[in-house]
Amino acid sequence: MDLAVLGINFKTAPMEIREQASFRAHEIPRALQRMAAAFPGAGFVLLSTCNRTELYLSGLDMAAHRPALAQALLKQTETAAAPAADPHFYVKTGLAAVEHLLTVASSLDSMVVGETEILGQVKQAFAVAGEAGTHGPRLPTLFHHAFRCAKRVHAETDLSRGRVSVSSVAVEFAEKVFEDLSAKTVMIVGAGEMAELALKSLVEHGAREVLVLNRSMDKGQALAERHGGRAIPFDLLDDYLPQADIVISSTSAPHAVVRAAAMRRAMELRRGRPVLLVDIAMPRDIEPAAGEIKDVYLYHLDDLQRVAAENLARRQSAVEQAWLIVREVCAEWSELFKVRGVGNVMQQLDAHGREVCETILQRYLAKEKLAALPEPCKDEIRELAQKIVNKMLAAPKESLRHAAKNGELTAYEQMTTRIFGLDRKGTPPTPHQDK
Amino acid sequence: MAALGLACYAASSLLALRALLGERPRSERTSLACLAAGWVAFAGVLTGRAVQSDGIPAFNAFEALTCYALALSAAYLLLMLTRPIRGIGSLLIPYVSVVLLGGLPGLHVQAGAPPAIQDVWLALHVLLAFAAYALLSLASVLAAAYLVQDRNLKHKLFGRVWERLPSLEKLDHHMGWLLGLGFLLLTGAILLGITQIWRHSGGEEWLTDPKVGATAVTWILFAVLVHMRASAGRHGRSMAVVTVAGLLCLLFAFIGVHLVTNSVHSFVGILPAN
Repeated sequence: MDLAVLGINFKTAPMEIREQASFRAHEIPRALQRMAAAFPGAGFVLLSTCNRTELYLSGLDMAAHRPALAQALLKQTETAAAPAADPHFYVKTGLAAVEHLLTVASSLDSMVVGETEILGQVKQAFAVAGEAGTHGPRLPTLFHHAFRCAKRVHAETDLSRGRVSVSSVAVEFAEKVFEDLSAKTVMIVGAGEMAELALKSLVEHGAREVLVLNRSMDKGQALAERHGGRAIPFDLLDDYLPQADIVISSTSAPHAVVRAAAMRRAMELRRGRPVLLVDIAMPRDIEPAAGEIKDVYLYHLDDLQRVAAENLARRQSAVEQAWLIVREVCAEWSELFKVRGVGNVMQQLDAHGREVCETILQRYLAKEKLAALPEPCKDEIRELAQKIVNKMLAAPKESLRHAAKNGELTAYEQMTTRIFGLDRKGTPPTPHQDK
Repeated sequence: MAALGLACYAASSLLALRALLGERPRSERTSLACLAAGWVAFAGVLTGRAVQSDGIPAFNAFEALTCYALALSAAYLLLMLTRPIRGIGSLLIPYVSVVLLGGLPGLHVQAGAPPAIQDVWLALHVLLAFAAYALLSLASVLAAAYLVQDRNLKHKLFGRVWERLPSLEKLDHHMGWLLGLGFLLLTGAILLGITQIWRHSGGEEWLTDPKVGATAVTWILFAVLVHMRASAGRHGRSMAVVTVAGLLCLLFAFIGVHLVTNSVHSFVGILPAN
């Protein structure tokens, strides 16, 4: 199997090393084309994310070309850094390379196991190689297997279910109350780091209208500008409360900032439209009584942490199940490879038989005695000769099939190649050689 | 055929419940397929009865309950085809199955409206009434799902049901338009009913019929609900509670009234009160 992967990732190299082999999106096609020009006939797909840079290749002897390929991955940085980076590269070949791609695409090899971005990045890497015309004939099958495997892992296991960071759990809560975040107003009370992370997640999921209330107007203004919102004077909190669909509070105030009475007044004006309150301050910013008001849903830091921990535990428990799927797909790929391998030898054998047949017939049918034969007779002779060849090749082909099933394909392949002279391209046996 | 249909509904109910409570929510599609198969089976039964009696098959307990169940199933299937909404089947399909089961004792009872009033207007009246019942019931099931999700959110029950039921806003939105459309159809059905009384010189017994009274109360309740949502812009838990109450009212007007009193709308196969 001539498949291999050469790469570094967050497990094998620190960030400063990974930076040396990091490719920006627009640099990848050129890098691929350089490699394709340097190694004609080989197939390449380059995956470069913040956590890994991996070169998937086919049709190339990895042992012989490893230093050159590693150098190609580090080409854009100073060569002085290359020796330091080289030991951090890993190489996997054959089935190990296949299994590696399946685990990467299924997010089993990610820093946050189960994250779904990696599948998109692998798809993008494959598409870029396709556009650059460098993936060759073997890699597409492998990558399509990887996509199918990842799809199965996501559909059949809990590996990607639920969010695992506290800030993104706030989005999970918001999505259970609201259908479309783009039409919702998010109010941030206090410019704490955690609140900003939660706001960032909400904005990434479509929230557009952002109100920032902070005691320091400058700080509030800066936060609002970072997320396309507007800063509101802190004193106007109660006035703006009815407008807010989602309130995230994280002030350092020693007392409650959002009072239940103000919330009750806001709800009268909202006419039953629900509100999500997320209190991530310590001590708490929102009076617990506010959570008892109809259509108000109040969550604290503990709730967010609990859900994040539950989701993480669920993902961990799904890892084993996901690995089973990866191994299953890997085995499927291996079988497919075997059958394809048999196909290649058989095709060579058929071509060889046809070539021998045609060469001999051409020579003999041109002789004086046979040249006078009518064309239908000549066709009969050609057909007969081809049938004899096919019959003779049937037994070796059957043996090859058995060998593939028993895992002995390589030995039989070599034997067949030598016996029939398949490796001597363009030199089929001639009548003279036969003599 | 009815047994086959009921078996399909039972299978669909179990699959829908599994989709909500089971480990993997993958059985929802199979549940829908079973529901569609059950629907076809019962529709076949009703068509057979319509051909046999040469009239509208909605005049005994079995026929009326089956018509209602089929209308509700069709409304749900259409909703799932056009605007998929997860998790609702686990509430709706078992409910529909119970309704169908309730009608089975009247399976072999033949009934029909007096030939004099069996015309296209009566057919339209019945059709609109069942369509209205279906849409209003579907809205009520969504309201029940809203209350379940509201409870999960309020009490921080972050389990499978919380995860698999849709957002409150989505439930509220679908509830809104279903109520509006259902109310319009109910109004149309009532107007057609009144027209029928007038056309056939109906007597006082129609106007003082308890079913007419119960339907009027139901209509008023839904009118208030639609007004509060559309004009006063009310949403949330209270509206969901009133919508569920609307279903109880509707069920009383549709079937309950026949259990407690005599009605000129009476279905054969249901025992009237003495």
